[in-house]
This record gives sequence, C-alpha cells and structure tokens, in this order.
Amino acid sequence: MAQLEVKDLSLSYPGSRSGSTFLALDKVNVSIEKGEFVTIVGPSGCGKSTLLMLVAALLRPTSGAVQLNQKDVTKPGPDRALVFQDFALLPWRTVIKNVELGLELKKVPSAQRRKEALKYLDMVELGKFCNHYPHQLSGGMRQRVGIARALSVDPEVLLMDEPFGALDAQIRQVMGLELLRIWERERKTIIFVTHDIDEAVYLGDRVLVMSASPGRVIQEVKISLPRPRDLSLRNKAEFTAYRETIWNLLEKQVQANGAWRQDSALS
Amino acid sequence: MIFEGAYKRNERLLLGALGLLIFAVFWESVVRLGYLNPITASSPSRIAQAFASQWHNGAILKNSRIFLFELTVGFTLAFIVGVTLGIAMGVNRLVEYAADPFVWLIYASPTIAFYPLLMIWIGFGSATVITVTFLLTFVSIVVNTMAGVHAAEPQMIRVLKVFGGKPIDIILKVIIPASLPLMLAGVRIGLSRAFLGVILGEMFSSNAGFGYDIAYYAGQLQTATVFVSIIILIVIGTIINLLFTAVEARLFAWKAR
Repeated sequence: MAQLEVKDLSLSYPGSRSGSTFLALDKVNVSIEKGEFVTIVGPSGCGKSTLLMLVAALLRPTSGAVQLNQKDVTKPGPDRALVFQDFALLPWRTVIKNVELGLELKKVPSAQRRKEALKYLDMVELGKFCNHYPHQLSGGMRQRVGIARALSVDPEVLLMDEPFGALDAQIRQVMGLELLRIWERERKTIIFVTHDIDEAVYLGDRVLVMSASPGRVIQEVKISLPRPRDLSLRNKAEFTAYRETIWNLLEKQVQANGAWRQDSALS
Repeated sequence: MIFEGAYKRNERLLLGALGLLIFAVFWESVVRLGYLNPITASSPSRIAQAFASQWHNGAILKNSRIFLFELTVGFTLAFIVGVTLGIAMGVNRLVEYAADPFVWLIYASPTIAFYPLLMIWIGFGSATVITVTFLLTFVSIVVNTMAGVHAAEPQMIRVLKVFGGKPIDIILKVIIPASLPLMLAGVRIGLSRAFLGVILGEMFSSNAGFGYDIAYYAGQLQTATVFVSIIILIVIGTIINLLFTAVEARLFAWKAR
C-alpha cells in the first residue's frame, strides 16, 4: 500500500466575477511510496504549491481526499512537515530555538529538545550557528535551518515548496546535493515542488508534470538514474533526455496558456 | 593619556554635564546680579537650600513613595488591561468591533476633564489619581498592542499550524512576540501619560504628593521648593526611561541593526 494517497483531489475558488468559480486543481491522483522522492514541475499558476498546501491541510479541498497511511488527512500536523520557499523562520528566535519549535509543539521535554535540535543542525552543518538569529545568516543557511526544523519533528512526509526558489544558482546546486545526502541517510518520503526542470530530474525518483489551470497531473516520468547522484550527472545523455521529455510536455502547456510566467508568486 | 582615553569614552556625558553646569552658573549669576527677581525665578543655590530642608522634613521621601505607588498601581492595571484587551481585539474581530468605540472615545476625550466627576464618584485622594492614570494610560497600550497583533505575518502563523500549533500556541509563540515592538512603543507612550496623570491628579484631587506640593508652594510663591519637586520628577522619569531602554535592548536583540 502506498504511504500517501491523493485521490480525485479538486479545489475551486470563487472567481473574479461573481458567481463564477476558478478551478485550481482538477481531480488530481497521486500515489507515493514510503521513502520515495517525488518532484512536481509545472508552469506557474498550475496549482503545484496548492497541491502541497492541500497535503499539509492548510487548505481544504472542494472534493477528493488526501490519505496518509490509509487515514484521511483533515488538519495540519508534524507528520507532514513543510519547508517554505521564504524559509519562514521566526525572526525573534535563535537558530536552535527555531529548530526546537516543532518539538515544543510536540511537548518534547526541553533537554531532549535541545539535543534533537542540535543533531539536526549538525546534519545541515549549522551546529556552530545555533545561537545566531536568522537575520545574521545567508539565504542558503536560513533554508538549512528550515530543513532542520522540518526534519526535527520526524515527519512521515517532508513537503518542500520550491525550497531553493529564493536562492541563487550556485547555492541552489549545493543545497540540492545536501538534500540528497540527507535523504540518502534519513530516507524520508519527500514531495518537492519546483519550476526548475533540471532540479526536478536531478533530485527525483519520479517527476510529476502538471498542466496549467486547471491543474492536473498530465504525466509521471520515472527517473531511472543511478543513486547516489552528483552534479556530473547533469552532463550525461540520459539526464538530458529526461529534461527534453519534460520540457516537451511543459512546452505545450505553456503555449496553450500564453507566457511562462517566471516569477509569479502563485506558482 | 589616561585622561584622554577616559574623556573619549565619556565625551557625550561630560559635554552634556558641562552644558548643564554653564546653564546653572548663568541662572545663578543673572539672579545675583539683579536681572531677575529671586522670588519668582528662584536660583540654583536657593533650590539646593530648599532641597536640604525638604529632605530633612521627610517630604521628598514621602512624596516619592506616594508618587511611585500611584504610578505603579495605575500603570500596572493599565498594562494588564491594555495588553489583554489589545490582544483580544487584535485576534478576534467581534471583540474589536464591540470594544472599539469605547477605546476611541476615551482616546479622544480630554481625560483630565473627568477629574471633577471622578472626585464626586470616588472621592479625594489616591484612588481618584490611580483611576485617571489608568484611563490616560491604558488606551495607548490597547491601540498599539492591537496594531502589533495585526502586524504579525500570516506566514508565521502558518508555520505554527503546519507543526500542529493550537490557537493558544499561535498567540504565545507568534502573536505576542510579533506584536512586542509596537506594544512596547505603546507602553512607552502610556508611561509618559501615566506620569502626567499622577502629577495632575495630585494637583487637583489630593492632599499629598509632588503634584500637590507643586501647586501648594507655587501658590505661596516658594518657587525654589516647586523646583525641588520638578527636579525630582525629572530624575525619576529619567531613571524609568533608562530602565525601559535597557529592557527594550534586551528584548529586541534579534532585530537587524
């Protein structure tokens, strides 16, 4: 049985004109195995982040369901930890206190909380920065805190919403590598939303390609590249072939929907 | 060499003190040379004498005790009510709509004008002073706390929800810390209004305290004794301000400088 099941999930909003509705997601079906690394790509506005918000239960679907271990997901919880694109650290908390947040909410006693938080900070190589405040860190470091915070609650599924979208190209690649290293070790199920095709192919076991509004999964591309992966993979022929396949799928979507709106916040 | 280093470190303080000293010498000379009437203008030496006699007869300690008691009680009540109501209004729209008219009417009203009424209702003395201090103070705390709550970013609240935070966790771990800067700005304004509230209260509806003494001795043209009270109020105000700044610096160490 799959660990996470998304069944006929639809979401519509009231539209701009009164009485009209805007269909953001249309009967999305996804099934994810334990320990799988699934990436989702799609044009901006296709609802890929919305899908993640529904899995996190920050939004309620209009119809359909999300099931974790065969149980309907109805409210947010630490079994589905989210890593935010804008890091979303609490600026008044030190790095370690930020990581401890989820553990606090799980009522973990303070000594154990500290120990756990330090373990995950060491994992993202930020142990030395535990008493810094977020504003003293670079973007890449802040997102590593975000990842440590999400891992610390020992989630069943790690949801990542364009986590490297706010970082520059070099840092992005380094972060991708680090994420793979952590994943190889922890073997958490990861759902990773991105608009970067390279990133999607490079990281994922499977890439879900979504269509623009209404959002649907138009194709699943299984990525049979060997693991552990490193950056040299990007120049291999198989990699380029996958990129080509996905680009071709997306290109049709983009043409059908006008321009590829690069920097839309609602991607 | 050593002196130069010590001077450099305290330049601001030393030059400030020098400025005050020059002012005092100027004041004293103008009075002594007969350009100003010593009865109305007083002078630093007269104030020093008045200070000594007020100290010996115990008035300074007694007035300070009364002043600090009224200020502390009035301000603390205003702080508790102000912060609680401000958070409730910021979090819950129904509470906001219901309480809004009261808050703004009190904010807009010349609170001091209520003194005669409050004297009729509550009577003469500390209770009335504390009531007016409370009324003057709590509104600026309510209004700023509410604004602070509204300034909490939805994204931070979302973080708490994602990790399973309940409404009480959201209030304690996001809303209160996020609203603290504005809340404390309101507390600072509230404190200066509380100061005024106590002094005016003592002037109008009390028979003790610095406010009462200021009004009483001014009536007797004992200007030096009036100045003693004013100077002590300035000192108390400065100490409270410094403490407040120290607390703020501690609380806001996380802010980017």
